[in-house]
Order: sequence, then structure tokens, then C-alpha cells
Amino acid sequence: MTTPDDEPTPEVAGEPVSQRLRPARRSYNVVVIVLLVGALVTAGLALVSAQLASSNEQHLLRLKSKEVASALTAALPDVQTPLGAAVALVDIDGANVAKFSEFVAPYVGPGRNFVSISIWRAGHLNQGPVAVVGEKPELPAAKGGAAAILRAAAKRSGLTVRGLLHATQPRIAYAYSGARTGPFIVEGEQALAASRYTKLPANSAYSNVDVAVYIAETPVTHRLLLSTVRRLPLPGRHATTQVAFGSETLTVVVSARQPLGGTLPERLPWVISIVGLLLTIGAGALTFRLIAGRRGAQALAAENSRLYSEQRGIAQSLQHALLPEDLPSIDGLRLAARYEAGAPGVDIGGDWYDLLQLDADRVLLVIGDVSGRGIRAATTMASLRFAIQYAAKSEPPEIFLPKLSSLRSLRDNKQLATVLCVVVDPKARTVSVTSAGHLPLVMVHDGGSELLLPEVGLPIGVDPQAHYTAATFTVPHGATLLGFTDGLVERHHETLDDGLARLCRVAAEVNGELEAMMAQILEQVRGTESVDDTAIAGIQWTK
Amino acid sequence: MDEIDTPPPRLLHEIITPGDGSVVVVLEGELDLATTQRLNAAVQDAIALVTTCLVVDVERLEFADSSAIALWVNWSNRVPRIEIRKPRLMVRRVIEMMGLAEVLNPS
Repeated sequence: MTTPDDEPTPEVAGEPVSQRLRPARRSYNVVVIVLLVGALVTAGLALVSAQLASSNEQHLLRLKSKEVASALTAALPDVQTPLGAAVALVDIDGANVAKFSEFVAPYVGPGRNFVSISIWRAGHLNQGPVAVVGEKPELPAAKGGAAAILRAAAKRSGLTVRGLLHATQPRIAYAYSGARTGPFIVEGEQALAASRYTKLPANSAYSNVDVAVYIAETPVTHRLLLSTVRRLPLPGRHATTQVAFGSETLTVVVSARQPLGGTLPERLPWVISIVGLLLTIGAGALTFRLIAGRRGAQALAAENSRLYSEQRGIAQSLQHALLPEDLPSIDGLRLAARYEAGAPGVDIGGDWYDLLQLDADRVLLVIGDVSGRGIRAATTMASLRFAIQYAAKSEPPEIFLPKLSSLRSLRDNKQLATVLCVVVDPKARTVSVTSAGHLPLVMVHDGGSELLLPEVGLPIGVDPQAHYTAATFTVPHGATLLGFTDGLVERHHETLDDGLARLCRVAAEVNGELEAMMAQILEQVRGTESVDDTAIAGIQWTK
Repeated sequence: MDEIDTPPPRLLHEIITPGDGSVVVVLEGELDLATTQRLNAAVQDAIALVTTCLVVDVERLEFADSSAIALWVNWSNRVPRIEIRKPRLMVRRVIEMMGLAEVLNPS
């Protein structure tokens, strides 16, 4: 029986919590994995951005080198135009030296395009130039000699270019023959700085790059035409472009003084690394906290569960301790009793039974149920049990039962208790039954089973003035009496009468040796849905 | 502790105060260990107002176990009279078998 005045559960001192929380390092591996993944992703992104920045830079540098190359080739017409005009003039006028000199003079001299322009007759190259404006040509000092070079030049229509780089004053020579069949060849020479060092204007389109130009197909130092740095080769990343320059090939090498794509692409890998690293550390810390939190919650849940089952175990042990250890041994009777705890998760109840030898001839069977649950129900049960043990020595149940209502623990806790007292006279085969609100006895005999229904008085705890009446029944040979609490017969959606009928039917079916009979009844009648605890006590006549 | 593993409360209640010193508590659903505590707390104030009779209308109460009976007996100690109105057979039989018909006055 239960009441709403529920019990606080007893405090149980468990083992220290810390002993139960062993560090499960495995779960922290997740943190390591998060950190590793974060670091890998960061490194990957940084590498990719570095690659992108690098290839972008290389691309820009290549564009720059092509720009320089095309700027150089764009200068060729400046060379070809005056030379072409000069040779045409000479062809038409039949080597009019005066006209020739007059025409080319503005192009020759310090600060002008050429240091020397000379005119040569195609068939008489070995005789030297027909006329020279400006300085003496260096071409005759070139490898192979002027005649061979100019002869070759006469056979092609465009400009023939020669780097005169080993001369004391290095020059670059251009030979042009105009029409292929023309009798004259004009040769112009431009001066190069002795060191080949050229300073580009600070505000030019090439101010952010260093340039080296070679008049060769490979960047070899002795074919260097010009350079914007004094020390070669160019430092760091560079791009190389080759371009046709008259009859020669120019190799243009460009390197950047500062990143051509700006500083952001270059810094991006570092930015990504730092931000990624910070994010990774943050994610790791968050994961750590989550795991620690979950572990804490799990540990707490496990601890609660353990404390609960421990508490329940203690309460059950207490209740078993409050029930009789040994039943009296009575000649002519077999006695047995069982207590079944309620379903897991349900606190202990206040059900009890007792079997007392009153005198040589009589036994008192008591079965009762205190409302409520937990320790308070159990202690009230113990008070009632011991009060009845004491009172039953001198008074019959109908006299002592009303007095039990004034028991302090019942009053204080507003508890009710139902009690069934059965005074058994084995020899006379009579039972005297007094009920304080309790379920009736079941009597099982050869002919079947029946309920022994006495007049039912108020439960203990309702009224100290309550009135009780004992009813006497005669018992057939070999009969069995069963007292029980409502946990045995109570089910949802049916009346107690249905439960009692089921009990009577099963009891008649399994009638036999007392202990086995009680075990079967508990199994078949109580059912699996019962959550209430159950006490059952039986008396069986052996004769 | 008792809440663990027990199903959620399945009880509805309504409190009516007709103004004649009585209070009617209408119950619907199931009244057992899981629901008695909450109900008891909810009707405390209403019961204190009763000067004549506390009527517990249990016509639509499908289940009441001994914890319900004990609750009503507790209530009966705090009011001049209690009346359990229109109990279903299973509730009426619990009251009768506990010898409480004269205390709880099922009608």
C-alpha cells in the first residue's frame, strides 16, 4: 500500500566519487585528431596559396620579360629606317658621298642613335668603306672580318646584327643592304656601355624589375648586351624570353625587385597559417571541453545510478532484516512466508508478515501493509510488527488493533496500515480472523478454494476508536490458508474481486506442498506488470 | 525516486467551488502512486476552504489504488465530511474491502 506522503530516501555514504572517475584517455584522442586535421588542412591551404602566389608571380614575370623583349624589338625600326633610307639614297645617286653624309649626320654622334655609319660597295668589300660618318667602324675587327659579314648581309633583305662585344668600346653593328641586288651596303654601329650597365628611369614601366639582355640564344655572360644590375646573374626568381632581333636572337632575363602581384599573395600563406592554427587550437579546446563535459555527465549519471541501486539494495536488505528470520515450528502445521520486492525502480514498500506462537495451542499469523514507501514505511512497519508481537501475548487482535492507531510513527507520517490477524488453533482446526482494512484470507482445500471474509474494520491509523470483530472459521483436513498483500492481486483495469478470483483459481490448481504452491502462485498470479511489493504467508495443515 | 521508470502522470483534475462551503474535486484518468503526490499538492489550498463537504468526483477516474485511498483518508481528516462521488466498481471495491465505506462515503 502506498500514500502520497512519500519518503525521503536515506542518505547512503558511497565510495569517493573520484575513485570512480578513471581518465579514459581514448576519448581525448579525438582532441588530438581534431588538432592534427586542423593542422593538416591549414598546411594544405597555406601550401596551395603559396603555390598559387608563386605561379601567379612566375606568370607575371614571364609577361614582363615578353614586354621587355617586344620593347627591344620595337626599337629595330628606329635603326632600320635611317639605314634603309641612307642605302636607298646612295643607290639612286650612285654613291654621292656628300648627300649620304648630309643625310646620316643627324643620326650620328654622342647622345644620338649611332656612333658610326659607313657605306660599303657590295662588290668591293675588301677595299673598306666607301664613306664613313662618325667614328671608324669596328666591324672589320669582328670575328670573320667585315667582308664576310657584309657579304652575308647582302644576301638577306632584313637587318643583320652583330654584337661587337670584345672591342675596347663595345658596339652593336647593323648591316642593311636594301634591295638584294643593290650595289651598296650600309653599316651602322651603336655604342654600348663598357660595363653593359644601364640604369632604367625610376618611373618607367620596368622600374620594378631587373633586366639582363644577351645577344645569344642562352644567357651567357660574354654575350651580355645590357643589364640593369652590376652583378650577374640576376638574383631570385626570373623569367627568360627569346626574341628574334634582326639576324640575331636576344635572350631577355627578368627578375622582380618586389612581388609583381603585390604583397598580399605573398603574405597570404602566412595569414592562412596563423589564422588556421588559431582556429585549430580553438576547435581543439572546444572539443576538449565537450568531451570533458560529456565525461563529467556520464560519470555523474553512472554515479547516480550506482548510488541509487546501492541505496535500494540497502533499503531492501533493511526490509528483509525487519522480517522474521525463522518461523516457529508447530506440530501439525507447515508454515512458510515470502517477501517479493517491487519492480526495479520502485522503492521498497511497507509490506510485512509475522508468525508467532501465542501459546502451546495457538499460532498468530499477521500480514500487513503500511502505506507509503521507503525507509519511513519500513520503520513504521517495524514498529507495528514489534507492537503486535508484544500486545499479542496478552490481548486478542480485536482489542490491540485500535491501540495501534496511536502509534507515533503512523500519526506523524499520516500513514495508513492494513493488518490481518489470524489466530490459528491447529488442533481444533479453527481460525479467528480480524481485519483492519486488509484483503481476506484464501483457504485452499481438496474441494477447491474460497475467501474467508470477516467483517472488515478501518485500516490502522484512521481512527483510534475503531471497532474490530473477530470471525471464526473452521478449516477442513489438509487445508492451506494464505494471507497476502495487495501487490499479489492488484492490476490496472480490473477490480480487486477479479484479482482475488484469479488467485483462488490458481491456488486451487496448484494445491500441494506449501512452499512450491506459494512459488507457483507468486509466479502465476502476480504477473509481470506488478510494480508493488508483495508479502505472502501460508499455513498448511499436515494432518 | 518514485518518478524513475514510472510513466508520466496520467491524471487531470478540476476544482469547483460552488460557494456553499463545499469544494468539488473532479478527477479524470488514473490515480496511483505516480499521480497522488502532484494532485495532493495541487488541491491543498482548495481543501483548506472546505467548511461543509469535500466532494471528490471520481466518475471518470479509471484507476485508483491504495495510495489514492490513503490520500482520500488523509483529506477526510481535514474536512467535516468527504464524499467520493460515483466511483467505478473497482474503486468502490477497494474502498469497501479496506473497510472505509463509512469514512469515504462512496455514493
